[in-house]
Amino acid sequence: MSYNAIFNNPMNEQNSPNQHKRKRKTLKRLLLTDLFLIGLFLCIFALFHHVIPIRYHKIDFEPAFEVNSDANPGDKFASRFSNGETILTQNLYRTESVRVQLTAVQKDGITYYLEDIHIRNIRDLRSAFAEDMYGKSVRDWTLSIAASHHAIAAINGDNYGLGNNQSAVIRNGILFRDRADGDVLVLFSDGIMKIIPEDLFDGNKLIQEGAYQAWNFGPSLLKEGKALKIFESRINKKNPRTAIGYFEPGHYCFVVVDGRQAGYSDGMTMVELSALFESLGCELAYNLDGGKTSVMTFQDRVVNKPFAGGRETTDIIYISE
Amino acid sequence: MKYFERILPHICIILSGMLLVFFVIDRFNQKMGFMENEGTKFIIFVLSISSVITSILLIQFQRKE
Repeated sequence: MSYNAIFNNPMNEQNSPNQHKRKRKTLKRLLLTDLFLIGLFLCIFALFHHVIPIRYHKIDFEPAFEVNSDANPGDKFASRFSNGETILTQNLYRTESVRVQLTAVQKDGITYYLEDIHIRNIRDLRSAFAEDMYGKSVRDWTLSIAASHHAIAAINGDNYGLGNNQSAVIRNGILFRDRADGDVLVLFSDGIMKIIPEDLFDGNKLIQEGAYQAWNFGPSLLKEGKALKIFESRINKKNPRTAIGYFEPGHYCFVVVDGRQAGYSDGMTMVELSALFESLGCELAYNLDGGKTSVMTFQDRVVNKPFAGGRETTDIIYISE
Repeated sequence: MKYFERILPHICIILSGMLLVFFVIDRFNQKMGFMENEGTKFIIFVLSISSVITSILLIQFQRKE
């Protein structure tokens, strides 16, 4: 029956106003029921998609290699380290193998925090999963994960355990997930960081080549140390950001930009973040999960002001001795 | 069979509504993978089947008229 036939049905004309009213009410009730069911099924979907934790299986159970403690990429920064004593202030942590300098910058309505990191041995730059469990939707607060791993400095990671399960996961020398979703940031055991394009990512081969960490969120923020002017990302608006930068083996930085807080910090676009890393002199920089997730810790305290109090994450990147 | 015929259009409405929500969220946050999820693929599959059956029933009904 066509719509015309339905709405011009002579039977309809014969219906009393009461019947019309009743039919309209029934239709309204049916549509409201459908709407309610849409909401209900969305909640059930969300529950399975990103609320109920599911433990994954690792691919390898032991690191494919030992991080060579003789090959210390950070040896050339000897003057940055202490002579054996531990120097601890509000914004500096300095020992004979690690130096983390925290800086807060407030400029042009944007507040960001920079942790300038020098490490003697690459094994001091580590990753940790929430509850030490590799899985889907297994989450915890960045500070809590950092504290449980005695982190000197930490930032949220790439939130590997949420979303489409397509991201590459190599953590502390162990290959957990051999897939890639866009460009992957790989840290090798000799301290070199590289961006590996999605189509060239081969977890097993990279592990053989000494891949120590692989984070997969993106995008990559620099090209040969130069800022990018165009990003094809849909999340290019001003937002809270977390990113990691690489200067040279043994020298890295964590950056967290606060955002969505008028009067304090609006956040950064990808272009602004890219320009920031160029100005810092990084060779390479990579965007990690941002928004409410963006959190930086230093010596067991959150140093930034996460939007709406922040939220739990599935993994962190941290410095520890 | 009658009951099945009656609920089919509602299945289409509910699943389409869910997919519309996923589509909008996916525009904002692609990383969450709402459109690439296995569950979403299943919803698309069920919606397609429901739509085909609903359409066949509607065509059959129109021809009877």
